[in-house]
Amino acid sequence: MSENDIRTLMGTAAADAPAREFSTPVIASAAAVRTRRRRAWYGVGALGAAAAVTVVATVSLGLLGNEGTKAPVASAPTSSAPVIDPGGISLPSSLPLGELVGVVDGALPSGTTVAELPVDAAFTPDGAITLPLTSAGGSADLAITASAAGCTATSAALDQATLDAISSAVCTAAAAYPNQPGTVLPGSGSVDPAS
Amino acid sequence: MTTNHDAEFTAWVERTAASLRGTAYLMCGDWHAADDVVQDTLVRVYERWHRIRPEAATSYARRVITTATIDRARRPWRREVSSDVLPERVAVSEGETPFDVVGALAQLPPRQRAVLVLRFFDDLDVNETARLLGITPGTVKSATSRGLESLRVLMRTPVHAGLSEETP
Repeated sequence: MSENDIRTLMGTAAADAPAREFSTPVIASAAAVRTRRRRAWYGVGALGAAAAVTVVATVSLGLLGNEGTKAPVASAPTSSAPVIDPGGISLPSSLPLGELVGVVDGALPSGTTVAELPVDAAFTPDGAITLPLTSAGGSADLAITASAAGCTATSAALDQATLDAISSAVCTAAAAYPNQPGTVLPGSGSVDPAS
Repeated sequence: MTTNHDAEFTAWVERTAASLRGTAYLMCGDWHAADDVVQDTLVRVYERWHRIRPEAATSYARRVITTATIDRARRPWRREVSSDVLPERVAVSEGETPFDVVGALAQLPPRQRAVLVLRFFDDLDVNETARLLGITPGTVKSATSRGLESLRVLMRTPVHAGLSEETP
């Protein structure tokens, strides 16, 4: 079978075509539908892209948010000794450190303020904390305890009236929170950060 | 599109539709599928009519048909499925060729089939076939050689030869 035979056979097969008309108006209409459909798909694509970006952003923010809340949670200690949250960055269930500083600052005489806090400033398990004070005359420490038994304030640089005002203000502020500073949270084995 | 463009397009369709249908039929092996492919092709040509030269439109249309038929052959739901029922055979009259060239072409790989159709039905040369299919002239030559050999083997036995054995 030669190439010409193949040509002839193909021509014969194709010549046996059933009748079929291709109308230009029909083709034009189909082209218009195709164009509209393509544009609609572009629109759907754009909406899909926008939705995808929104979902990704939401998920990313959610993950970041979870990171923010997960990181500070103290894990259960292996020893029986309660763990103190030194940074005081957990959600407060007792008097927060920042509020304590504000309360103390409000009770201090003019010219004396709470100085920059050390990084490990936090209530001890028995509700005690030491704040640094600064004034024109120098620096000093202010020891505060806050517990169910009451509040105390002790400092060599302050008079008794000021210390009474501080302890009273601290007890008033602490009463607004369900737990005393330094309270061990049930089930956590950790000490409430109090701040 | 303007009326003038529509008139040009209509004239081009009248000149080339039969040839394009033949190309599509030999590649698809089915007139209904071929007409669908040609219709889609004409729509695409119409969309680009203002951008393509009329003399290039036929080449573009052949390219669209070839791509479409090769794609159809690759789609799993378009492939042939086996059936328990044999299709009815067309009666062969005296002097008519008993060779089923369409059936034989259908058994070739899609690209090999396209090469044979473009070269021996559309009478394109090696370079034009290569350009249209996006392959090298060397590949066209080898595909032509292998395709013709396969076609000769497939058509060596006439399609109706087995019927006489089934007839009592």
